[in-house]
Amino acid sequence: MKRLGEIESKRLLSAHGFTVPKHVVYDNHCDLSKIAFPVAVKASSSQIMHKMREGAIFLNVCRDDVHKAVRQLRKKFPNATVFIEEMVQTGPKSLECAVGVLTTKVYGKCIMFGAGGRFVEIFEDVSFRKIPINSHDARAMIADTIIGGEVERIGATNCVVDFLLRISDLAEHVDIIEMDLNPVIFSDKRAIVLDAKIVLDE
Amino acid sequence: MFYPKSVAVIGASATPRKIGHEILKSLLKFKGRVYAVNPNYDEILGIKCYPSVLNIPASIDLCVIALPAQKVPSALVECGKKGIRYAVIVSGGFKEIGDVGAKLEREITSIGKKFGIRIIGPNCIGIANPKIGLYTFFQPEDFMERPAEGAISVMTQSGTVGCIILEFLAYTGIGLAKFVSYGNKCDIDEYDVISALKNDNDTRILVGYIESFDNPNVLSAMKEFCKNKYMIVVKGGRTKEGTSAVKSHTGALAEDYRVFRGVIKQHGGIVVDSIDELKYSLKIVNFYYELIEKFNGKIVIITNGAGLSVITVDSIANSKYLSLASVDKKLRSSLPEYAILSNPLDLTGSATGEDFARAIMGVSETSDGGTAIILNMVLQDAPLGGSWQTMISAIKQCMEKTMILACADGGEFTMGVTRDFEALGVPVFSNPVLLISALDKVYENVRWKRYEKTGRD
Repeated sequence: MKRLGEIESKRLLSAHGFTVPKHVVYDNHCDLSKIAFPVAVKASSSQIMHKMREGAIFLNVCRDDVHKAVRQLRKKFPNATVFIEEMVQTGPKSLECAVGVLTTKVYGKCIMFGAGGRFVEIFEDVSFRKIPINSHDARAMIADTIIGGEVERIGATNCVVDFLLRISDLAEHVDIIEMDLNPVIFSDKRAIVLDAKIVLDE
Repeated sequence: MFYPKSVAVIGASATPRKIGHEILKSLLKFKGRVYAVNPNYDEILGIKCYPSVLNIPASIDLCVIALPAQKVPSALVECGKKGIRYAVIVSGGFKEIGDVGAKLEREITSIGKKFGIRIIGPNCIGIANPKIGLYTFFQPEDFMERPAEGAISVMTQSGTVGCIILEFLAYTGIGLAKFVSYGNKCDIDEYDVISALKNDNDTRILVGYIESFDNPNVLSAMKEFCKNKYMIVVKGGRTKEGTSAVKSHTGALAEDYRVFRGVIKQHGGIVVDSIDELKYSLKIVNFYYELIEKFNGKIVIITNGAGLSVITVDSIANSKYLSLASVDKKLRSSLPEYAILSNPLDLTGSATGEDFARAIMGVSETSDGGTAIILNMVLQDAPLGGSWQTMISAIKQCMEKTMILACADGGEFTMGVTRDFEALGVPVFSNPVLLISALDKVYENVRWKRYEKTGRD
């Protein structure tokens, strides 16, 4: 079993055609000229389970404040990799959702879809299916959830369906035993994975 | 398993109200040979009693064991030597009591394997097939009504829930095809039951009370079953699913019930949240087994009571797949002036049975076969009094084409009229919220079946 940090998880997703925000690992030689500000400054390590709760992330950081944010994270998480990531602009036509994969004893690998963000455990607005899923299953998962109504309203249904099918396919063919993508920003055109944690079976 | 020609009750007793006595009594109506086994008697309830199954001078297809747990293994060995293929073990005192019982259960499981005996149980009430009068129950008939022959089969981990469903099938007249209570399921489990009933021509709907699935093969069997038949499941024990060792964000979220619900729906089952909802959905599917396939989620409410319909409309708005259909303006001419022509189609408190009849026929004629009618009836209202015969004949006339679900609630008078409706083949429900919730779940499954057949949503 191998637990991947955020950077490695996103590298894997990116290699399989998923969209993640542009990022740069921060060190003394890093080039910030191609990064659009404001940015998110994050500490990534397989030990950090919940960035927001553990204070391992700063959002909407402007160019002048980057170094200060980096220093703070390095001090707090000396073993983590600190990186800088472009902020994804969200609006009324986008939604934060959570997508996950887990392995169960009887049913094997299952996929999860639901409302994302910090309160995913509290509201439990989630739906599961066994992997692999078909497009009917993906639509039914959306319908199972309250956030599904919003997905429909902003016209992101096809985008979510496509994303769930691709995650199902990835988890079926790569030795992923767990995956936690939260949040994933969906709009009518695109899906961007803002945070990712993947556990591989080795 | 469901068609034995001969049954032996091991641990038969001469004392009324004892389990071994009541099982034998239940089997008095069995259309086959019945034997009793107990070394202390020569005869019980007019049935010859043998010291051991090995003394019975004929072949035995099924035995029902009602002995204390410690005595079960040796009795089972004798069944094996006798060549018995199926054993219902009613006795408790196995896995459910802890380590000692679990050891005993492993012992009987291996005896079963060794002799090729398929075990139902232990810790169960066994099986039933009304077609041949087979009931292995220890619930006396005067305490628990037996259903007539019907198209519903039941599989249940719990005998208690089994009894409740069974009596529902009896008193509603819906009837029973096959029944299996398999308790601790040391051998026969959901996979075996679903696989067997898939090819049972009498079974159209399978109702299940499930606490846990342990056999991964159950899903593919279920999917095959549900392509042509219906399966309605209620789950007990909504605790944590055994997930992989790692608990990440998603892992920690993975509670059994939500995973169960999603996976069962994905494989064609209808997952309901309560026994009441199970009864409602069962009633809908059973009454409209063919018509439900055409349902498109659209509903017209016809009512003489606005409040009840407001509640129904709220439920429809909260449902996943249901919505209100529009009502054809042509109906205006056939309805009285006081009728409010919208959806809900409110005939108001002045409505007579004739008004209802005209509205029902009008809606049925002007809508396609996919629209369902919900009748919210306030049977307490005076103008309606005594004129529901007209209503019933209109409903009966339209039921071939249109799904009509009636809703009424009240006291003794209302319940009496409700029973008359049902006796004439019109399904009546008391709770509109539960009706909508059950209909939503049934329709979700109809959509699943459609996708499986056509590959289109």
